[in-house]
Amino acid sequence: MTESSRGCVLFATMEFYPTTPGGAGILIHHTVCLLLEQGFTVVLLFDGGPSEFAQLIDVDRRKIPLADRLLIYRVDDLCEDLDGAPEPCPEIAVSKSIRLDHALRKLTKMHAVDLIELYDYCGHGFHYLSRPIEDRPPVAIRLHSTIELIERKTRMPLLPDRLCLYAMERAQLALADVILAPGPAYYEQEIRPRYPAITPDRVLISPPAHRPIGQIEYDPDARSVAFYGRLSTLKGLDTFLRAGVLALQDPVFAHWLEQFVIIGPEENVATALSESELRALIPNDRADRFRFTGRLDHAALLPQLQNVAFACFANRVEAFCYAAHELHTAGIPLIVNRIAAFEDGFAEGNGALFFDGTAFDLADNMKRLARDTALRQRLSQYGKQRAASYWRNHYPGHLAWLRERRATRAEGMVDRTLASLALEAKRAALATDGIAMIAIAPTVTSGIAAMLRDRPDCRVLMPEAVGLAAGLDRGQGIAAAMQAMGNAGCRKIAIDTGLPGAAEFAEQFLQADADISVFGLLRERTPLGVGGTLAAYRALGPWLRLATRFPARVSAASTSQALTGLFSRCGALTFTVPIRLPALGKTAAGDDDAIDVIVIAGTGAVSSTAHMIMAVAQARRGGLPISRLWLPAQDTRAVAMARDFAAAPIIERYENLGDAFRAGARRRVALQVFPDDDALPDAAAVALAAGALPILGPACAFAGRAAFRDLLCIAFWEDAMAIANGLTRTTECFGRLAGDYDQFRRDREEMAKAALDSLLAGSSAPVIGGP
Amino acid sequence: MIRLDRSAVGEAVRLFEGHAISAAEADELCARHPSREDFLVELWLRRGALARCPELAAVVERAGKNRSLASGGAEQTFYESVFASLDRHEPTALYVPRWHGVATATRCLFRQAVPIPPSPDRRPDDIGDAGIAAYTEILLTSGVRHFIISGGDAFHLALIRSVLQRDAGIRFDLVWHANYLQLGEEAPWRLFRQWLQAAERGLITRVGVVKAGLDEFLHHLKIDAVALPNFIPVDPERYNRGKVADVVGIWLSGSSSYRKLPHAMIAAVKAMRTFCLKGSGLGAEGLALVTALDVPFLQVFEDVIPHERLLRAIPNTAISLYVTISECSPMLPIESFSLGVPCLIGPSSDLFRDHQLLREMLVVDQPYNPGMIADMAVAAVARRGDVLAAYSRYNKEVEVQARDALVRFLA
Repeated sequence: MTESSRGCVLFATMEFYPTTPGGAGILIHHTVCLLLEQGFTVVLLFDGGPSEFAQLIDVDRRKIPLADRLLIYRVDDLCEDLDGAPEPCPEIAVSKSIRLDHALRKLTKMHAVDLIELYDYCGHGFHYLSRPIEDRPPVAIRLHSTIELIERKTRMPLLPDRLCLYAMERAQLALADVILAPGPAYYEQEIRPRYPAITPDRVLISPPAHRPIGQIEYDPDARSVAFYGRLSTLKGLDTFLRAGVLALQDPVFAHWLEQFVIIGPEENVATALSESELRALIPNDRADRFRFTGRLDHAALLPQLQNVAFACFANRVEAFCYAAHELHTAGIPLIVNRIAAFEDGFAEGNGALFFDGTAFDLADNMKRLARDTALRQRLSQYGKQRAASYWRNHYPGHLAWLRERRATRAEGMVDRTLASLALEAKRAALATDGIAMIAIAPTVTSGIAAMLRDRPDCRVLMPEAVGLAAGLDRGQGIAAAMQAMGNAGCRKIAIDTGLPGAAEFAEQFLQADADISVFGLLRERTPLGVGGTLAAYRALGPWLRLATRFPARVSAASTSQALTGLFSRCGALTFTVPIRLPALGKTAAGDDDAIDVIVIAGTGAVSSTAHMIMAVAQARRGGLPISRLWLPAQDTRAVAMARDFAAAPIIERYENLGDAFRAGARRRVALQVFPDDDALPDAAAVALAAGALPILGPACAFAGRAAFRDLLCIAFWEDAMAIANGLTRTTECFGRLAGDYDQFRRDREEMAKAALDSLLAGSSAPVIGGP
Repeated sequence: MIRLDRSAVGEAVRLFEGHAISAAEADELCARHPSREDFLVELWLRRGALARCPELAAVVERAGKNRSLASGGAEQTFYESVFASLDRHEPTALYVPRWHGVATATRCLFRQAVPIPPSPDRRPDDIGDAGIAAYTEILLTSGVRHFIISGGDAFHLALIRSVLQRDAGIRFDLVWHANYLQLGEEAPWRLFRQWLQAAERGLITRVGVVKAGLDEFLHHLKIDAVALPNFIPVDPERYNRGKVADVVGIWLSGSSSYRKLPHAMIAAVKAMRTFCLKGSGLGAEGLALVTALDVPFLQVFEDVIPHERLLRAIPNTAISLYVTISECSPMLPIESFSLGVPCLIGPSSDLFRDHQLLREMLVVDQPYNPGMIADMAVAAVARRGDVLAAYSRYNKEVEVQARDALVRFLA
């Protein structure tokens, strides 16, 4: 760090704008410029080829203001003396990581680096981060989107030979001093559920810096609709094209539209469909309405935007998406997919219109925005006005936070755990009159732990905080938790039974303090299916033994009556907490006589939909006016069967369940009739929220109300005749059932609250169910 | 009263159960059945057709002395011998002995049942054109004019076509043993479509189904169909006194990887606390679960045990658990009841559905719910007398319905 510098930040990267393409390179470029502008020194460790490096040094660097404090190195240059690198390495990320480690160790000896920033994908910081913390400066991992996340979100096969890469990504995220997230929604929705090791106490929100590429004079008479991004399914081009074709079915929109303009280069990797397959989504007779420009640089892009009325971003996964913000701040109105990154980046209605990810909804929004000139102008104006707000330096705050954290960390890992836990518990105790229970559970969005999280008298802690993470001594973890509970005056501890070592942990608690009671938080349902069932049951074995050994001090709680039933019969005090049900969505304003049926595949031991398709066919032959049948797109046998048996006049296939609940008939019924112990399958919740009534199997929540039996709850679940009967009767009394459901849902809410009260009191098990 | 010799007993078991038994086991059977009637009753419980067709039993005894069955010409000799004892005016069922469940059900349903191919070690898919030609000849020379195909393998269709080409006046019917759910599997769905086409083209006259309601579905497709429930007559006088009050039996056939899972049933035994487990066909996972949950057990087998051994094991239990998730018309529960042992089932067949007491006490609505299974099992054991009495009455009604259905099917 030079005398005049406010600090030194090192970026290690394979991307840098404009030398290489990619959003990460743009982010680092903008951040570097911002830091230099504000008096920081920046070290750029570039991992690229010699020609790219020459371009960077000789051309691109010269365009950066205050570049005298920008020090650029190339990884290969620093690794000339690296011996014994495992070349060729089976996984290129491993050799990249080894070389980066070597280069970083050299650079950190040469410069007083305050912070090293790496990106999250490919795990290239794995080897460097594996070194002792005292031997290196703080390391931040910035969330862009890991390869694992992208491949999961795009439903690409998670191949065994990628596991090493995923593991490296996960390891560096776990080892980093701090995680920089572009926004809170992205962290909460995309990262936290998949990476429980990234606890909130290590996450800083650090919105990317951005500069407009220029601004246009918005033309309200412009009539082109733009797609801007790589030609891939990851960027949602398939959705865009499908939506475009759908929108063109509307003659008003077709007349209004000049053309769809698709701007971007071909993408061969992060896409489920090739460019030619994507182009094939456009019917021949519509081909002249779509124009592909190929890749355009910013200079060439701006003239194109002059004739754009609005742009659509149907991207499936993003951390930020510079492309969207570039057009937004240029003054182009946007329609964006409702993903976390866009929720962080845009205010709905002001910054952009949101659609729900389906082509249907995007088409509707296209038509809406095409009709509404005033709205387009308002969106354009908002984007331009907002442009300056992106240029904000968060690094002084990040560095201060890291210095404080390092000081705390220096006291040792266990002390840190103890301190933070005690502090958390103390805060909770101050915030209430005392907490009744400390619960240890991984990040959850459902189940009892999620319900407890909402209670002021309960504190939910991550397992790492109490020594249930690898690398922490369990005994010391228990000591920390004991102290925390002592601070809070709490003698009850709930533990998610699915956590590795949870039963052993509970046993140590019970032995260490005779006054402590332990509540095992069981799964939400009994183990399903063929695979994994044994393992899931096995995990219950130690808890059943604990219940026998400590009959008065071990309790079990679950949303599954089947599981609590097992434990109660084995002598444990149990608590069954009913799951919360969603409100029934507004019924679609459609044809009163028509009926849409949506068949949903099973997720447990049984996946076949044959019994339901035969039921639909039977109901139709019995006179039920079924207008349309929706089937899972991948279930080709189901489609063949539905056609053979003439189950409906129109048979549709859905890839995304949401598509099946778009528009259609006023009465829509979802069939998901399976024997699984699942009070409300996820898909049924989607159906209810969309205003459709789900017909489920014998273990569903509806079994508890006599009025729903044989209608929304089919006991003889595989009997097509019984399902057909239930389908017919449900549609006949659709309105009454919708009303009954609303009351049922409110009753369940009350029961859930009472059950949680009992659980926290630890006194008695509420009775649920009954008519 | 004729004392059976052990070689005849052993061969009868081999022919109709598909496995050889040792001389010691044959001796044991002989010792336990001093009379021919008792022996036939046991065989009837296992296979049914023997008891209702004493002539066939005699053939079996004779065939037991013919050791050359396995060789080439022996097959024809065997069929000649079998058909010689049959009434050619009587409808005759053809079944594949390799499919144990279907074979058992077929022999219970029909007075005359003939295995094609003759033994369980022969795969139906291996029957080529020469085999079809040979079986065509056997069927034509038998003089039987009405055959019932039980099961419906692909070779059966070729056999029907071959026979009808030679004699268009012979009638074929089909008994279809799969349920709705199984049609979601590739092979049954493909076969089912072929049989629907066969019905449309008049190759078969009538379809019998063992899944209740499927007949109604087929009526809508304009196919003549009759539901044929399985049943076994019971004699309440033969029930034992219920000496065993704390042993649970779980007897699985291992015929499905997803429709008959043992996990919840095994966990239920744990929840029954004072009960012990006996079981077979539990698979490696089942045995591992017994260990993981510390389920008290007397004897558990990973594999399926021979039927004869199963029938000896069931009476030494207080209750059978057959809480499976998908069935047609299951045999195990009615075999258990015929031996005086109540049996819980899942919500997956027509059994007990229209009988209030049995429905409430024996049909577990939630097949994945160990607590519910445990509660109902304890209650059924406590009320064993009531349950058996109710079952006895129920079974008489089912018998009437089944006989009536069979008459309609064969008409």
